[in-house]
Amino acid sequence: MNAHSSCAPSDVGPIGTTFPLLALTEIKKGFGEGEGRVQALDGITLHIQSGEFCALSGPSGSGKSTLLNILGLLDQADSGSYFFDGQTLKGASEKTVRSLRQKHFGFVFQSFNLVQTLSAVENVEMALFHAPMKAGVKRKQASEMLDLVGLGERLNHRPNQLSGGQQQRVAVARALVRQPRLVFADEPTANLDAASAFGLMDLMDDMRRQIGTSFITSTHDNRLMDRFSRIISLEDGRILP
Amino acid sequence: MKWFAHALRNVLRNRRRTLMASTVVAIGTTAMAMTLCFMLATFFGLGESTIRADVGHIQITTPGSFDADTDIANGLTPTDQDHIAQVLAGTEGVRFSMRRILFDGLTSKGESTIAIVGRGVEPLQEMRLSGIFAPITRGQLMSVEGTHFEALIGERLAQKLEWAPRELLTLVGTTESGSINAVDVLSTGAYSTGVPEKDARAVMVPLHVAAALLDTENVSRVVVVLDDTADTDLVRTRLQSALPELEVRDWRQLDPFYEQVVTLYSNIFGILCLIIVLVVLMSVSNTMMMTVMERIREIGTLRAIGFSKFEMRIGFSIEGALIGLMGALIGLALAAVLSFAINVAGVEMPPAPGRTAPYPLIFFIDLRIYAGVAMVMVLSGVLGVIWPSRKGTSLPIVEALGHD
Repeated sequence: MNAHSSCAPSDVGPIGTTFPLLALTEIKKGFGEGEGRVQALDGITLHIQSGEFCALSGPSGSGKSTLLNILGLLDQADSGSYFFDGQTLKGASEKTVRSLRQKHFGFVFQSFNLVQTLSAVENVEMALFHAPMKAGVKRKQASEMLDLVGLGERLNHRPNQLSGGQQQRVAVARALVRQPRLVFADEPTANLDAASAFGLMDLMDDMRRQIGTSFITSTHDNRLMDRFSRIISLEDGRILP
Repeated sequence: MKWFAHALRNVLRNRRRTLMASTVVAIGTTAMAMTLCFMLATFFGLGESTIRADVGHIQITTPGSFDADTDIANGLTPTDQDHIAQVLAGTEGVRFSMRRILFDGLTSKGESTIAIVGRGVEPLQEMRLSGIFAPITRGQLMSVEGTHFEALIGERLAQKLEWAPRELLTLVGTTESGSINAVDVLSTGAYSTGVPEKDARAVMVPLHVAAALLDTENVSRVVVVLDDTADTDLVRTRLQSALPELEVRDWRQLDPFYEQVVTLYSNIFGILCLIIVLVVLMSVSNTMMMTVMERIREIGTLRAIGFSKFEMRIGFSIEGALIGLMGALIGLALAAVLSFAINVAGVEMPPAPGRTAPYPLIFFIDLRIYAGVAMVMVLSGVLGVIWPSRKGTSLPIVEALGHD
């Protein structure tokens, strides 16, 4: 069974009348073969509700990034079930998964991952590439989103003309421009100084409030923990109670 | 359109990579375009020189006579000649025609007697075909009216005879009825056909001299000259239909050397072009492999936000096509400039095998060839990207995102 496989909705747990936005049950993921095999995730069951501001915390090697990749449908689990908005992704096609990522998910990476040859506004526009709207509308939305993250004066700057904090803001704008339901941020503050890190956290929280997007952020920076509405602690591939 | 715009933006902003790949394509384009244009010029030059040297566009004679040139008894009778003249007069594309008598015989001067291959011609018409129809090496051309008992002899034959201009020579031949006959002619000059073997036995006389020597009213062939070489096939077909009792051949059939050269050169240049395409393909592929490897993290990021592998590959293919097109345009411009410069400089190539005269190095500037080469280069750009883009986009997203 893989991450896109499912069990019956009742397996998800006592969810009452409202489905969680995202639900995982008994997710397992390992790497390597034989004696060298490492069990990165060992039976993760997890619900994420709309509008949550979650932190995945834990020491290096605890499985934060692996879990984030599976949550973001960037990777597949070896076994377990994955539900999005109450719908199983069992047997879902690559196209369906891709469409989910396009429309409902946003990503912020530790190293920003901006396209170096594109300007800030063009980088943000890339997230709207598949959106059924005219080029002018895309440009307007991307510009407005950059304005929202405080980079309205840096629209045409290339990544190498921006500071690390500014680049990460561009990445946040790219993640949010389609107004996704979930944003996955993998150690987004790891390459930032303290002031930029706190600024980014404030920005993400503001965006969550304004747009209603849920954030799931992996971090091992204890200074930031009090900013989150929920902390999910991982150790050796398991969620600590 | 948005894919094109995206690819164009990538190509224009990745200047270093674009320059590297485009340079390779440009060099390949220049080499291929000039090679093909040289080949075209060579074929054209060879064809026209074959036609203009003496073959004409089309020749007409009685069946079997093309393989038995000197059998004047089976040549074209005066009736045939009149009929041919009527048909030619009504055939579009025919500029003019002329008659020739071909004969074997001997020539003697003093104690020397040498076998000859003679040709009776209408000098004025021959001049219309070839300009100075017999490139004179010594002495002078015979009178173009063709009314005197004059002759031109091949340069090598002149050397063998220890000939001097305006000496009297005796020509000996066999008449139509099989008797031996002889005429005395004033040899006004020596000429070169460009082929040493021919020069050793060539004698050219006015048509009436050959007719007197062979005691005949027949001629061996009627040579037809057209307005445009490109109409050769069409006119030959029409003439053959109008003259079913006679045999009509065009210059390519009459001079197999042209087809042999075309075949040989086509093979050589074909292989050369294939090598050029392979070099371009491998160079573009290598450059694009570096490009794709540098952009693995970008590929991972774009796939994470919803781009498919196929879309990524399409994007890279358009980039490859654009690089091919840019390289092709630069290469073609370079080819045109170089070709023009070489043509103007008047560079001469050494004589071809079996020929005595050098020939000019000419590169045509042919838009069809240029367009074809550009298409090949665009295609090479696309093909060169296929393997790198497959390799780059096949990595799992997580692996691509973690790529250094």
